[in-house]
Amino acid sequence: MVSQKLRGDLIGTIPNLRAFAVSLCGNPDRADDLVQETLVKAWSNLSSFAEGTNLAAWLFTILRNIYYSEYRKRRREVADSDGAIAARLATAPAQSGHMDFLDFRAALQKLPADQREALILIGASGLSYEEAAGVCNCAVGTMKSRVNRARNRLVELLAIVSSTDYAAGADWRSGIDSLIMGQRFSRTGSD
Amino acid sequence: MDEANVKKTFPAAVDEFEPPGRKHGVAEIIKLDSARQDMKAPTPNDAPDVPIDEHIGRHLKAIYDDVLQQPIPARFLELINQLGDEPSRD
Repeated sequence: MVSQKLRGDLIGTIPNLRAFAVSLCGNPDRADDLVQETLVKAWSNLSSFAEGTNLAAWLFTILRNIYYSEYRKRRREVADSDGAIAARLATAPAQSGHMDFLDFRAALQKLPADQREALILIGASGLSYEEAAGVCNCAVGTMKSRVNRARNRLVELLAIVSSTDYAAGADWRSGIDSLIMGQRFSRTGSD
Repeated sequence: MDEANVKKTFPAAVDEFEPPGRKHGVAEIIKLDSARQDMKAPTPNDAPDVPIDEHIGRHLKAIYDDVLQQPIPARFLELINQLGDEPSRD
């Protein structure tokens, strides 16, 4: 029998679950589907949740596990290879002189998933390093190095684009070469 | 997420007045890019660049909070009610 308090607490975590899911998936509709699956699974496993411990962290763990098991099935949808990213850049309008071209959200989605989730958990969700490490089933040191790598990778993605002139008439292909060179330079494996 | 966690994540981050019109901290990004020309590999021990970390932290929170402050979609409230109505498995 689920207590009213626990049911209320569960509802209270939904905004956080949605926010985390959107950052993971990069897609609001998929994110809400992910949250739905998470809530169903959590409900059926509520007997294994120790009341008094961090409910949000427990739910994040469930959500994350579902995401990675689906993610493996849908690898082709994720553009994390050099070729896919270059192809995306190649179709960008050349007359856009905007620094927004590779905006923050897009850059975040280009990070490997383990770095992206580390950055969001630590930088936005309010979890501690210990809690985030628990969610991701890794050591605290690993979590810290993922956050650092994510930060450095983000900086490179944003800096390389902004230092290249995308004004009308400029050769934007040189920007792509820089981006790819930058990726090769900074490419790091996941833990 | 509150300020305490921002400072915990990026210890050197401080509140700074952002001049109007500087939407993405482009000046800091370009400065960092030219400093990067020596191709020094970043290590976890590198001191955080204050303006960049502030920029990143702010954007992360904005993306997250953007969803956080949305009202809970009805589908989830309906789901919880539906789950609660099912016969207890315990």
